[in-house]
Amino acid sequence: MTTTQSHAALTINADKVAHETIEDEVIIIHLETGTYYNLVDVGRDVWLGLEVGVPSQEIVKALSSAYGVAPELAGEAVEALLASLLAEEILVAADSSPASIEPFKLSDRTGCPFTTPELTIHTNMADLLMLDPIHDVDEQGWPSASPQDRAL
Amino acid sequence: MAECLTPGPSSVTPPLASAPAVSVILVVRNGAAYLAEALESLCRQSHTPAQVLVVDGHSSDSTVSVAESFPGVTVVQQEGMGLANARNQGLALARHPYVAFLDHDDRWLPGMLSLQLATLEQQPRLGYGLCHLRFISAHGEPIVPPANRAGASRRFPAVTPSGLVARRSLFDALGGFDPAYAIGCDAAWFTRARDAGIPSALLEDVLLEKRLHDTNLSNRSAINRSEMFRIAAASLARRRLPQSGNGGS
Repeated sequence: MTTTQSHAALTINADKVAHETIEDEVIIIHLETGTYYNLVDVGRDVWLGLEVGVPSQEIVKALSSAYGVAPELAGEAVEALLASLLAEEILVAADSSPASIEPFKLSDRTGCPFTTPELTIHTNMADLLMLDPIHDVDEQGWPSASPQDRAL
Repeated sequence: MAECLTPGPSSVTPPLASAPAVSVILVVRNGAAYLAEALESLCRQSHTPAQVLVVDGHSSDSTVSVAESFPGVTVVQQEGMGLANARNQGLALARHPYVAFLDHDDRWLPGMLSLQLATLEQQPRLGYGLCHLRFISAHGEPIVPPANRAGASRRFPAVTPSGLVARRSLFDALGGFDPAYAIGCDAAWFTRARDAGIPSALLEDVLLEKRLHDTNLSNRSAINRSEMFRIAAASLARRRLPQSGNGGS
């Protein structure tokens, strides 16, 4: 767990990624490359912890408790995932540790297999995401240009 | 067909052995400021479209009169709401084997239709073709987009309806634009086509000028991001990818 502890102060790289959870699947878009990623199951649970800013040790404890697995197993899984998230610039070192750490718990995952969380990479929308549609939507559901552009 | 919409000389496009008929669909709402430029760029095409449909989304400006000033252009009023609905209405009225879209604030460069159609005619397995684009300002001047928009290059794959020429039959097979997406209906369609494995061509030529507007970034980002996440989630669901690590897709 030595290496995991070195990742204690990690934070989501909000300058470069945006993320949403849709039907228990975490989707992360890298804003500079158009690459996107997904996390499910244990990976989603790790992300829940990262979202609220708890140290990796707390995430390991929560996983171990929720899934009923040894802390060592959970620790190795978290460590590997954090390394992938760092490599993809999804996480960065936090400037400071949180002032207070709320207890982090997961709901009971009894019956759910503890699968090694993996960060899956997708590039099939990269060009679309990088082109970045450029319009607002008006009350009629149409994209609209800026007021000065609409002026005749 | 409009007088302006007649074949003109082109130094960039090889002649087609035959002249495949194409319907051009231009959807617009309150776009009078740029519509004439878009239609004039149609006039400069070396391949004359057989049908030009302007679907007007109940504009309150002079969009309709601008469109009607171009002989040969058919203007129809949108029956529903939203961008996807307008595109689909145009598709329903398109009666030729090929379909192209030109957004009202974009401009085609000469050769857009002839090069794309030649490619599709020569390669029957292709469902659609795309070209490259360059960005222009609101005033029509070439600009280099912000660094976070497709890097620092000056030309980009035009994965956007204005860069698309497709077989009409492709829309029958794949479906039209999904009105569940206000902005992302175009990205959703392209993603669906890719997920379905539709063969396509990406021409190296820059044949589209796409206008960048100054917009309210907070509103745009919120809507755009939300829809892009939904499109990505839908794509993942369709492909049912195994969670197999760093397997690029």
